[in-house]
Amino acid sequence: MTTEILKYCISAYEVFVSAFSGIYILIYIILAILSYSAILKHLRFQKYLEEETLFKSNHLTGVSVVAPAFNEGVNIVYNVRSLLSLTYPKYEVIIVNDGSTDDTLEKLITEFELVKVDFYYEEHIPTRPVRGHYKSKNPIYSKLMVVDKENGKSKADASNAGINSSKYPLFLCTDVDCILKQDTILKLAKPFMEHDRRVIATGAGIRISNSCEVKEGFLVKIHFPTEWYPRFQELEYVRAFLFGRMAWSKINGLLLVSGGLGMFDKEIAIKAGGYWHKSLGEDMELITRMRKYMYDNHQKFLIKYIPESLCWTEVPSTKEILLRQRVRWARGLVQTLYLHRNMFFNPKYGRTAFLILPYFFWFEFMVPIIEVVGLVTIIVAFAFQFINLEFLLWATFAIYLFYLLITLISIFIDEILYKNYDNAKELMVLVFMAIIEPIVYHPICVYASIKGYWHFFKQKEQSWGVMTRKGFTTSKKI
Amino acid sequence: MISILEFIKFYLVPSLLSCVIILIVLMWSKRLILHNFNKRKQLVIQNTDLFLTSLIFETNNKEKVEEKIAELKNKIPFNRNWCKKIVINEMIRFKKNLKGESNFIVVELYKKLELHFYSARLVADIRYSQKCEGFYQFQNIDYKPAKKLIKPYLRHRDRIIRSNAYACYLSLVQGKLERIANIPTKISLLNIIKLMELLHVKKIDLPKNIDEWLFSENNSVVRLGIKMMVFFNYANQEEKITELLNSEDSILRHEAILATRELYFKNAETGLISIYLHDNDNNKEEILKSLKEIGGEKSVAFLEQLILYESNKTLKMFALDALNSIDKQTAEKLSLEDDDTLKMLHHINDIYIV
Repeated sequence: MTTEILKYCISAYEVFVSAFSGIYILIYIILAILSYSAILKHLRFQKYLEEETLFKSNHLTGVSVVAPAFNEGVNIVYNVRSLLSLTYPKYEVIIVNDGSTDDTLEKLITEFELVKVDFYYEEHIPTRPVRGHYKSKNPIYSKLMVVDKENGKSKADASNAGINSSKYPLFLCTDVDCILKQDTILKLAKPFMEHDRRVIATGAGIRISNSCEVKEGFLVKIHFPTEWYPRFQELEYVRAFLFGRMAWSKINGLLLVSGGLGMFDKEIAIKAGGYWHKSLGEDMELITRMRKYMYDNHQKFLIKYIPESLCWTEVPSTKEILLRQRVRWARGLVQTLYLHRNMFFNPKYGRTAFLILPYFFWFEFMVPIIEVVGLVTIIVAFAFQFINLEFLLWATFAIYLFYLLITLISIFIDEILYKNYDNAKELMVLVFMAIIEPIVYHPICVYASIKGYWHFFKQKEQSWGVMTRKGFTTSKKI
Repeated sequence: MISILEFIKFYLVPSLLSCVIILIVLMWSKRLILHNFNKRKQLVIQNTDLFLTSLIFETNNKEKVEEKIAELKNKIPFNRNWCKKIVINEMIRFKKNLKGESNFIVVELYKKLELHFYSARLVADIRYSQKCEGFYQFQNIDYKPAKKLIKPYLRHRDRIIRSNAYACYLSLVQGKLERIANIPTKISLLNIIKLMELLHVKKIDLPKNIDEWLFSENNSVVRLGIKMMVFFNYANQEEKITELLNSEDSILRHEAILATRELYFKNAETGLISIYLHDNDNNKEEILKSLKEIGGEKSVAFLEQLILYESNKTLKMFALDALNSIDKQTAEKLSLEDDDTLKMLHHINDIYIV
């Protein structure tokens, strides 16, 4: 009897997984088509308006670049210089010193000739107390403002203090260690001025700076990462940014604009409540809340994504740091989905309720769980000899090839568009990584996701942890 | 009928595997092809630069020019479209850095090399990106006869084609912006920026019918009209612009508010004060900035009340800034009454906060 029930359960699971995989594959094919069409449209209109023309204009919307810094003393000066050298006619750089315990603030004060100013701080979004605002005595650095605040144990709190101190209607949120391309602000601000419908956020591709040559905060040469974990992440980034997000942007379905690089409509972000300091995936959570706010107020909106890499960031290079980061991301995902559970299938929230959130639930949140359950099922089926080994092997191989194909298409699109890699060898290394990724790297990510979910459901105390940075003090190849 | 296993085994896996292999081979070969192509491209750029330098900066007679053209055509694969594109781009680059007679030489060379046929082919291409490329080439080379080719696209159904065609056409007809007054479609902010840039670069005169623009039914034309009046410091429409402060369109009101301070319309003070209470926060900010520039006694009384009762602190600070600029003493007196206002005044008076 028990064997019969078990057999029945396994058969039922087989049917479920087959249907799930079929829908998953179908969705990916649709995403591929959408992504291709969106990228094509972007490329088609490159000559629509020359950036040279825009750079000279007085009519562009002003942008505040907000970059929180916590114990970034090693690189802070170079990073700020890099941010100050961006090309845009109307922008300011706001560095938020989030209660650093090292010499971050001292270095900024000395290097940029800062003095404390009588800044009138208005707390549009509640934050930990702000100790003071600093501006430079030297007019060369007039674009720079440093906000010194008590540590809020989250990037969200620091970003909110930066938003509160900003003066322009758009703000760009980035990490202080991110290296931005010279024309990043313009590229991200353009959609805000282009569309009839209100654009509330824009994002663009992020790449990995681990092995790039960086001199005094400026990217000298792009190199493919030399370490294993950054290599896998490079692959992930290419696939996620170029493939998934472009497709979602095409149907105005973006639920995530990276914390590393995203531009927002300040008014809407403030009205939506700013970043939530308790969130572990504050970037996704903010976008979800902004979408909710727009629906609640019956305002039509757009969230756009640009298929260009505009930002380079250092990613975890060891398994421990990677796991910590992914556990946090997974926990952030489930936290956001849980927090906004009342949006699911609520007609008021349109496609967010019926398409985007269900997609994130089934194909982002559930996938690691289904994978683990699948593995257990295979083991049990093996033990009771219920399994058709030939079918299992061929089906697994087909899924593997499909997954590989998706990754290769992303690399191919990236190669056609941007030729980011120095030579064919680097490209082939990336292809090799794609081949081994499902076996070597993917299980680590699944483990981290499950651990993240576990922490969430157990309500384990959350922490940010420290991302150990190697620093870019001189021109170097890591 | 075949089973699922057979389908996977004999159809799905082989097709997926083939796709994977094809993609890898394509990527690899594309790299190699690209490597060789880049070398050829560099060669074309070098030869074109030499050709242009020798013809622009040296005195040449007709035979010499013909000889050099023939020489260039021998050195580079001139019949290839990619090569023509590079040559045109180099010409545009030269042209942007040159002035006077040399500009004319570039246009002549463009004609002699019959590159205008290539640009015309691009404009006629069904692909929108190619059309835009064609417009770009004509506009930047400043090939005036192309205006006839461009004109039909001024009514194209696609907004981007239409926008680029307009920029190109207006550039080639040396201004003559009069026809913009009749544009039926919305002009986006980016297009306005594009047209304003044309005014700068081409030194175009103010359109003769600029007054009519303010009466257009298309609000974006009115917006552009106001911007142009500001650009040309044309203050003849004070009454109409003040009237536009009461427009139903918040963007138009915004533009009119900006114009009152840019053109220093002192008489708009009452109008600005009267719309303040009913406008959105963004426009309120601009009203206060305008009052800072043109405000008088009426503004002082209004701002005083506003500082006392405005709950939005950002607006309150703008009001205090305006008052501080018009009547410093009243601002200081008010700041003594509450700590918050005093802090705001310190912020306003801090020399390092811009």
